[in-house]
Amino acid sequence: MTNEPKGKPDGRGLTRRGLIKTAGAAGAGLGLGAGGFALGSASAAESDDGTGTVPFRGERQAGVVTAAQDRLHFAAFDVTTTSRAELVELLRAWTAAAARMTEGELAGPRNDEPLLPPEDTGEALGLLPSRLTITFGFGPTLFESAGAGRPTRGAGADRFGLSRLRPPALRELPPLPAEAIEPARSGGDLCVQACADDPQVAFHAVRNLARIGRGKVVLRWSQLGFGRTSTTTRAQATPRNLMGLKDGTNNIRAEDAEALDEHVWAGAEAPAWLRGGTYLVARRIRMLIEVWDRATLSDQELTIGRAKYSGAPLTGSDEFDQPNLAARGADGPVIPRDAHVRLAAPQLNAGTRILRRGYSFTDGFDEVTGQLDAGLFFISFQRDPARFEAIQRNLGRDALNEYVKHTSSAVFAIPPGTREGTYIGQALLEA
Amino acid sequence: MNATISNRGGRLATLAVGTILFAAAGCGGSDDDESTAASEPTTAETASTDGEALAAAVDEYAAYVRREAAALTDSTAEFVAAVDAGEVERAKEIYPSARVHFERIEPVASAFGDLDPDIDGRAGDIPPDEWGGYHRIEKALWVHGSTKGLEPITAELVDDVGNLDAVANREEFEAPDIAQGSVDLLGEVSASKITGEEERYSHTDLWDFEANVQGAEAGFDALKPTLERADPKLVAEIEKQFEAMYDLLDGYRRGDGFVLYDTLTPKDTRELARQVDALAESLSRVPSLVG
Repeated sequence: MTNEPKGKPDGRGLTRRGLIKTAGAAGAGLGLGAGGFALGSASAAESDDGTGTVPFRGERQAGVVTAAQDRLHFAAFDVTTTSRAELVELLRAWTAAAARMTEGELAGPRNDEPLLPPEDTGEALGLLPSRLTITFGFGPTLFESAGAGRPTRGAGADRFGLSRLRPPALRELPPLPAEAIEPARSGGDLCVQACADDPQVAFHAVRNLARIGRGKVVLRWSQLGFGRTSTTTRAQATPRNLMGLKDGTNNIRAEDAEALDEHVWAGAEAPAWLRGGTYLVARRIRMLIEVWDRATLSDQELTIGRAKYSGAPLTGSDEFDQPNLAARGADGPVIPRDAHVRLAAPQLNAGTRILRRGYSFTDGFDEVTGQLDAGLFFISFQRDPARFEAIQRNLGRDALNEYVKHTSSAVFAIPPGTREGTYIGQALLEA
Repeated sequence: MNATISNRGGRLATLAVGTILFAAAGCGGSDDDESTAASEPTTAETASTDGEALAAAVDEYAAYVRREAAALTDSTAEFVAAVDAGEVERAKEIYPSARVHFERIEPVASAFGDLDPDIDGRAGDIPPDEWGGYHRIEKALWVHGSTKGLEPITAELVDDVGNLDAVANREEFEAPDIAQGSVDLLGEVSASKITGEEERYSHTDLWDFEANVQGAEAGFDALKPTLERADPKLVAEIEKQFEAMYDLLDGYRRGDGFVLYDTLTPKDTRELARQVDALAESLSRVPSLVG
């Protein structure tokens, strides 16, 4: 945006929305997006031209089945306070700020105190809401005393008195195939998944939540994602990952209510505070780009089990044809025994499906090899992390493992959504 | 290795020499005209010369695989004898050089069932109760300093290596897969040797590194007469890159072997990785020229 906040005094106080309207009225080059937005957020809701907003409040948290936005900023935090009251205070403040930011507002009320830092860091001023969603989760270590497993933090046994409420399914993943896990970018007590169509809007959300949390939480690791690799609604086209392949063609979509109930939303097996929520698994999957790039077309296609350009299974002609795992050619199965689509297929995984919501990432280059440090930041939602674990175990002999390496791992319980006046995780902390 | 090389699903397997001749004869025409620069005049004479050269390449590479498989049988027997006798230091001494015969022909093991994960699987890639092979013993030797309880593992390793030897003597190969195998061997270097993950306990990664390069070179050497006709410039480029690769590795030789991986600096590993990429990139042009 070209407009500067200064010189645009606004009786109601400066807000991102207010600024956008002003700019639009001034014809400051905002174009159609601003015009549409000025008509009101209802008509623009979920539009991906930047003007759309996704409600933060609701039965379920946004950012799970929400049509996948283009950008991601994911952050894991460690809780440093040992006070349960402070943890509650933090979650209240995070909930309030998240509700504001997803509406395109500042993280906190504007202050004009010359001798106070501004409540909002300001870099999203003038930017559109960009369908920002903020999704919160609780890691296994939140329910533990310090030092259980991962590096020590916090103090005292069962520091928040939550261990009795910890679902057995919420635990770090055990060692799995094709991984070289870096503990420094794994795990975490809390997570924030910020997705938006504008990278600065997503960054702004995480930055302001981190700021609100200072003194109570510290950032443990974070990951930026620059391009969605999954499709979570029927209307979205299947994007390509950094291997140049269509990914997640068989993903569960927002419209598949039955499949979501069966595979994604936690049911009666979960403790009351988590029912209707889900579990998030995050895995940073580094692609060995240089090696992949010199694999022949045929080798790439046999590795995945799909045609590179069309995305169709090797046994079909259209992307959405179901792979025929039984089809045989002269030398054996048309889709090889170790092809990724075969080993990941629900048929070979006791019918298990997961909701994928991954993003491409790059973190520059690898200091050790000088090669591109890039890949897929894999995020999946499922009713039980053990489901992901079973699929990943089945991928132990996946031909794709020659080209990928999981370098981080984290699991979070994603509680259900909030109503006006409640805060995220309230059912857990007030159980 | 943590993963299969290419040539899955029996692509590398059992192709009669007749098929290879046929494939070679056909290569000037139908499916792949631009890939064979040799396809200027597709005379019967040229085709037959190409066909003979490819058949000779396949024979030469098959003989190499048989030699290395036989050498692996012997070196594994010697290694296992030391392990079974509880001679930890001796076993550690033999370990890196015993493995090079495997690393040279790894794509062959990868193409057949579970031979690769069984012989060369790494912790984590295989369920703990199924994990055996060289790296399981590596961990026992370097981490625990003990050979206790390894008898079933060593016996299994001898069996698996025997199976690989049988495969090497039974199967025939296809020229494009030999070429692809060479590229894949360098992929192995990029994926796990250059990061020190392969030999995470012994740090003898550079032994494997060189063996992978040698195996890639064996495939290239076998195909060279054909390639000379198809693209002499590419041959010269690949030879230059192999030479640079060996020059670089020479800097890390100590005695009969190499320095340990954990003594390499990031500058060292980056330089090595860069040269592997340069070499592998030029080699990746080969499969289409011999297909």
